[in-house]
Amino acid sequence: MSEHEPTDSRKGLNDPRRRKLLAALGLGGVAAYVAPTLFSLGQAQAWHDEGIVIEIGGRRHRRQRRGSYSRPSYSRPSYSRPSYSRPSYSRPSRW
Amino acid sequence: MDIVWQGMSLPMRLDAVPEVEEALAAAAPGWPQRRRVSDASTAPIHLWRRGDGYCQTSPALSRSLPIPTAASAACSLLADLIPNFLLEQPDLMGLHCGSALVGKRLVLFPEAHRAGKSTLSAAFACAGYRVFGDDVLALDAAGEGMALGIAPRLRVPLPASLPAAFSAYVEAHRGPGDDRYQYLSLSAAQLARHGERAPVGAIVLLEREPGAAAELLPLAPGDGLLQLLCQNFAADWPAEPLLAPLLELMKRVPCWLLRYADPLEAVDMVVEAMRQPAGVAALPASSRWQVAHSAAEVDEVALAGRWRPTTGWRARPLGDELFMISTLAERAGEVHRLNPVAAGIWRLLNCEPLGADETAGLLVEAFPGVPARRVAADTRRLFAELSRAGLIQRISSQP
Repeated sequence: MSEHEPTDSRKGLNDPRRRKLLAALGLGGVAAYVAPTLFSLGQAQAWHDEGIVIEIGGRRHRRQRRGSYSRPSYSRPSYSRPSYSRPSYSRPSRW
Repeated sequence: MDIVWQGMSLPMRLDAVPEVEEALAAAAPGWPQRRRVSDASTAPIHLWRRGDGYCQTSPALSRSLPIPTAASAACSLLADLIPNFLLEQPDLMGLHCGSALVGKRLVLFPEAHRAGKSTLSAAFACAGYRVFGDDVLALDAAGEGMALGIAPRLRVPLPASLPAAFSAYVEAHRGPGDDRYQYLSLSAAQLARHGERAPVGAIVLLEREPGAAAELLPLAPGDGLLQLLCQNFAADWPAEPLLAPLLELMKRVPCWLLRYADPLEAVDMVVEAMRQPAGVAALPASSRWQVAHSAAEVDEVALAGRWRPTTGWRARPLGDELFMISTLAERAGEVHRLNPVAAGIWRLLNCEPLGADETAGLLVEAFPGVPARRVAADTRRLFAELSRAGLIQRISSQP
């Protein structure tokens, strides 16, 4: 595929099937192209481990690494389930 | 002595530790409790004196917990009180957030531990606003926040970088504390009582950055929803009942990112935004979260052919995004977020099974001027991720 291929929008306009598919995309309200992404809730833990990048007005910021969800050794057994990273009610963490 | 808290049937047994009773009452001054003489029954939540400190048992603890100070004992007992209360109140969802009342609406800052919730909550109190909590807020079925009546708890010593006015406020409102934690002693005007409710007005995600001037930036509603989905205590709720009220909430309240160093300056900025009907919506350019490590491996051979959505997913729109909730038992609890372009691709595949390259070609038509090679690579990566998540399946190996 060349750098800007396909660019002939007339192809879409003249092809009823492509017109229908373009309508199905429903991206008329999206002002600019942003790479399509899937984010799974289970990735939340990775946020906290690795940090995430936020992009605002063309500026990219890496959010600070958060405090971990790691529990103190005596902390309650679990408020978590496999696919979610959940907070715990914090007790004092060490004495 | 047994302590029975309003809204919770399970009592706490404290054996001849009046200083802990006092610390507990001061740490949760807005939560009504009554004391009664212990009977002969056993108490699952039990604290007694041992040596220079205390020892506690609880169903949530695998073994008895040694505790050195009365303030820490209060803290540990509150860690039992909150989940047991929420367990007995199935209509309430516990959110892990700080919260304060600005005007007649609550601003919520749902965050993980050590993100600044307590400091910002204290800063709201310092600035004259009513705090609903610094760690947990109950969300009712109507989408209103309900205070628990627990005072903010700060880690000490306070960072030297905090403004002097803030440090002085904390010093003047010292509640129970030790060398690690300090509860604030707030008046009834400063701390909402247990059961007090108010509508949610905004969701604010926190980003502390040393030296930064306070800055409030608009985020997509999905950013707030994702944060609320991560920062709640409804661990045993099925995905749909968990997501539905939070999604409705995010449809009607703004979500902002607050970058700041000075918490008092941050409060001013949030208050100013809350006072404006349009909030900060007029600020330029929306934003998006990106996972720093999200590049999925793309197997070109495995991606060949045409693909269609799998069954067993319910799509819930929020703004231009889609949240996908599994309806299948084997995928119970799975939730995925599709950004606007990914949501468009999902709609497209629901219209007709397509391959990644043809989909990319349609995107290039929709966004003329974007390099086709970039769009093709992005689309292949998304197809790989959708396939890996079980959201799409191949119906033909032919393009």
